[in-house]
Amino acid sequence: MQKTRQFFLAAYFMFALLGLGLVASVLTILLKYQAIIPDDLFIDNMLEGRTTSQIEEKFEDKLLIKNSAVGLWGAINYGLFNSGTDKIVVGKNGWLFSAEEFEIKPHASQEIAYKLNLITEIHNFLKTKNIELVIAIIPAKASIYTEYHDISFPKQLSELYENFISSLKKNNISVVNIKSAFLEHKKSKQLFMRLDTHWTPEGSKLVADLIAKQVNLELDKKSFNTEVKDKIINEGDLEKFIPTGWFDSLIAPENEFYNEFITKSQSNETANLFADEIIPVTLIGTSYSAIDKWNFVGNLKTAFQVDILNLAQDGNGCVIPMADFLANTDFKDTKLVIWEIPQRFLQVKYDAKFPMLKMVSK
Amino acid sequence: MIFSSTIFITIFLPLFLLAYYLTPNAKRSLIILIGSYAFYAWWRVDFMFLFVAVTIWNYFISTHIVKRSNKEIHCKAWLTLGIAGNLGVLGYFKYFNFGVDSLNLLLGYMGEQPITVWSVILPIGISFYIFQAISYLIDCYRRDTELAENFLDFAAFIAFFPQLIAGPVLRYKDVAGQFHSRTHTMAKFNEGVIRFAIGFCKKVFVADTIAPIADGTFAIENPTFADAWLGVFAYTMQLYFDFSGYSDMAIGLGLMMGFRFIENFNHPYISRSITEFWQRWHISLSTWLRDYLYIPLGGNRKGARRTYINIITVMILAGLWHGANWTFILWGAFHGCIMAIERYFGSKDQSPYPKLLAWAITILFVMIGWVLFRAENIAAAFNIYGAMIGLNGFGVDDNWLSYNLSWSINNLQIFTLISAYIIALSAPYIIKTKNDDGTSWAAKVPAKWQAIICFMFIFGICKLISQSYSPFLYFQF
Repeated sequence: MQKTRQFFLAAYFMFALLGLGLVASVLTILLKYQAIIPDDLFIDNMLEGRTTSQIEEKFEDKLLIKNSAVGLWGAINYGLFNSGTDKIVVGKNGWLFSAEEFEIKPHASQEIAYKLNLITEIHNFLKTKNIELVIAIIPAKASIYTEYHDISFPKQLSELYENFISSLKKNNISVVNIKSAFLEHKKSKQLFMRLDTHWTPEGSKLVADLIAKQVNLELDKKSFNTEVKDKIINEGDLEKFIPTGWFDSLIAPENEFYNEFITKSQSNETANLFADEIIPVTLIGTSYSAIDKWNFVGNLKTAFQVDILNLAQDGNGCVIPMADFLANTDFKDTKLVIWEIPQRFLQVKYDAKFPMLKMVSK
Repeated sequence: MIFSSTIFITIFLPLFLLAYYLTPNAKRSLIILIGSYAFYAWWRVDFMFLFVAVTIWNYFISTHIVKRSNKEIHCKAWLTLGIAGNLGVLGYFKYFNFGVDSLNLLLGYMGEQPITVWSVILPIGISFYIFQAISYLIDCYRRDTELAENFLDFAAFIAFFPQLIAGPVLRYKDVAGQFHSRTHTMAKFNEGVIRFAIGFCKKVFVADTIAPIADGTFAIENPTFADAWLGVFAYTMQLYFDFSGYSDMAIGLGLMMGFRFIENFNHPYISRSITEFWQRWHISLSTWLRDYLYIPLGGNRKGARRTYINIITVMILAGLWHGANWTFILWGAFHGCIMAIERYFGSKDQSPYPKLLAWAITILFVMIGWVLFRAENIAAAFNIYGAMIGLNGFGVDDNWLSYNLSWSINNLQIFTLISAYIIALSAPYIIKTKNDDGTSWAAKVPAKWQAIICFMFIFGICKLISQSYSPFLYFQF
């Protein structure tokens, strides 16, 4: 009887895999042990498994082959299934959207009501300091570019923007309807980045002009001018949710560019060289305002023809920058506060006992 | 640490296998013990001491059972003591919180104040290692197994990491011989790698991909008809691929060390009766229950009525074993009642229905049972049941599915869910369980299929690293 030859391919593969895995792990530990070993090596943590849990988490995060593995899987997921991680919705024609924009969060109505209350309290407080507050709610990108995805919003989401604007107006709070403006102008200019959660510089200019048109304040004018400088490639913040690693050039979405705008003061800067600078307008917000490349501050300066104090923060949401402002300013020179709030933050749960409320209620 | 983790694949397993194969045969039980204790201690060192204490207790009891084998009454006394000790440990660590919560519920109905006591942590794998220990004591009593030659062998058996935290439930008599003498061949190692790789892919590619669908639907407050059924369909496959995948990995790891464990799954979703289902699902547990619970209760030897009571009792206890919650008890009772009815109508061996109908009814019953298995509590389970019959309506705003679910399901999940059903229902008719020479199917896989499995394994590791963490469902039983 002929003996069938057996192939031990799987066994040899396993030897190689385990060997390479061990080498990669040892190198990871040798090169990054300081980042992997926790600082608090207490006996109770070690006995109760917290130390090993932390080590495992940090090890997985620092593993040398991690990026390659994530890229390979990401390429398969995106290339074959047109999907990314659960934080993203892959739209049509290379458009990407944050999954947060589609989500109805638990207790959404309560959180939205809380934000309305918070904004109203802050508005009333600033009013006592003779400071006008203007709210700029940035609409969800997915609600403007609906043609690039197949998801139809339920009423709770599709009417969220208008309902919130309406509630603010009922409370006598100045607010600009960015969503209407964006829907009106989206065909003539791209207002949101295709691969990024943020607006384009053109989108931020539209909003800046809208706010300047609405606000009626006597402010000491300076001269500002904004010009296009260059076209620059943008690495979209949503692209990291479709990691394609070495297969970037083959299957990743087409590169995206933005126009780099530069805003310059036209005033005579030496005229009052040693005089105190008074900046009557403060901008508070998120990465939409904090990140220079969207030039929201520059566009506001050009629209208002006044200097703007930018206290926006990248990565801290919309409430913390306002809390910092209220805690650290003397309100002396401020006449106008522009508070930029992305729509998707309205549903985000914040601590109801947020210190800011305590401050404004004093 | 779990099998589908980076640290297991890249550090523990290579170091363990290296140490294992560099050690002389006579000392390999020690390596198994050290490796297994390290594996367990990675979760919590303090509970490893409990584990060691349970091991010592059972070894101590077993030596006395065997020493007094000529005096039945003493033998039985030691056995009773041993089982009581084991069940006491299991009862305290697994059911104490459940007992207190149930008592407080009762006190609440009576208008009394609830009692407040400490909370007990559930050690991982306790249900498995306690049952293994009990089976060893009973087998010693029944003279079905020799006493372990030394504490080291016994401790290595109880702690053996491939099956430590989620089975299969091993019996000492089935592996004792293998601890003393087993072959280590390339063929066996190869077979082990194939089983491990397939189990890994089942877990990471199928179970983990489908899980968000089931999690999403069971979290909806008012699921629609479509939500509920989608969740049930998803969970049915998630559970099977997760658990059978884990069992494959355990069996594969055993083979890599020369051990051959019993199979734990045999295509359960092609069953045509619930009785048959339990001959195919978690086989190591169902045979344990038969041999150490059902038969001692009298089995089918004490008349029909007593048989039905025994079946239902065993299944209720099986449910309770799975988890400290009324949902598991109800699930066990549900299966037990159906099995009793099948026995009554004589349909446990031969269904009166056409094969396709019998299968459809069985899979429907299984799915209905899984709702209890998955739900957090009885109310949540009946919420799903209500949705399954349309009590929450058939859609929301012209959509079949609830909004948050409808947009969050992606193409990969849909593809995986459909593929899972195709694989689970067709595999038994395409892949032979055994080769013509009686060897397992994984022993003779053609080279091209081995290559495909290896590639899938690599992609599985990449997916695992991408998702960072994926705990097993049967983890804390």
